[in-house]
Amino acid sequence: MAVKPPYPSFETPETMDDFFVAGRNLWPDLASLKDLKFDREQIPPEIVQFLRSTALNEHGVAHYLGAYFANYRNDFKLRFWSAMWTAEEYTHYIVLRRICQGLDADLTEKDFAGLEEGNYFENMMAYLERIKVDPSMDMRMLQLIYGVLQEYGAVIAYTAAAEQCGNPEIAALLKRVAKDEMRHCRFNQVALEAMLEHCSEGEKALVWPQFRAIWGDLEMPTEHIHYFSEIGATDLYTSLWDGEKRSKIALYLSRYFSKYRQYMNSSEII
Amino acid sequence: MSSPTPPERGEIVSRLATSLAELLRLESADSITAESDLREDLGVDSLGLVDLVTVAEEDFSIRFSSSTDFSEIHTVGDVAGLIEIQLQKASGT
Repeated sequence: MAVKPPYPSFETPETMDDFFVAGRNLWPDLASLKDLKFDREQIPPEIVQFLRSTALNEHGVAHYLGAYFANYRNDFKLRFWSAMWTAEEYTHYIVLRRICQGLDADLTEKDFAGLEEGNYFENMMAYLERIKVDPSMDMRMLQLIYGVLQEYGAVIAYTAAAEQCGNPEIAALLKRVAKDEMRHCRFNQVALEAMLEHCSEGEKALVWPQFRAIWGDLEMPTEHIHYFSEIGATDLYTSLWDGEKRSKIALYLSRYFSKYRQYMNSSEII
Repeated sequence: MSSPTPPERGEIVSRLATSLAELLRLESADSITAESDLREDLGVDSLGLVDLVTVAEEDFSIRFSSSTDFSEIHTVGDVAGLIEIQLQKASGT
């Protein structure tokens, strides 16, 4: 029999029910996107590259799920969320690939093969081990904190791409993807907060320094799959973070995580 | 009833210098002036900026505008200017 974690991430499935329904309602027109057609000449080349690479990245969910399952161990609800999350990211892949097809810039067999060969799991686990601020830290907490940063980083990248793409129809779709990523960011926050209700003061005191450690050495998922470096897309998301966008991320995240500074001893507060 | 008068720029710089000295674990804030360059003189990187923003918002009970571009902020005086704007907005002056 599987050993249950020492405390739950959140108590009831209703939270996930709400997120699931909201996510399904966001894409009622998914099937009709196959008929999109755009003039590629009107779209900046770097945005076309972003769309192709993010479509591929969102297709990489099988890689990501492996790491999530490992870090959430026997937490049934968080594993359930992970499974649900991957389906939502796959929805984004469909949306982004349809845009690429409409731009006559579809993904190739080589792209899919390159993605599949990626060694994400080992790279991501090594990264998390490297940035972990306490060796005894619950990996669920670390994964959720990372999730908040990762998802908000995606929100800002998709928002920036929507602003820069020069096509209102593509912009509207990218804003919807950004909205979905914000839901994911929020879910990570909700799950983290629910989990922390059961944590000791000492464990809560790890949240702020862990956030700082990740922010100071942030690696997005594309940095952990070799193929993205082959196609010049290692900095897929961060390349769209200009000074203002980077500041927006820093402001949002520091405001969110700063409430956990109170749990640190005054001598430890940085 | 009118809001309290916001502090002068010099007082903001002084309070910021004290906070920065604590953040950077300096023995004294005496060497920090409005002209001190955050990156060059004080070694404030992107991580330090997160700390500075957090402390400044707490200490002065303000919220920086979400459109603020901190890459354009170079000196302690620049940060003080941003704080001054937010304090003036809050006080209606």
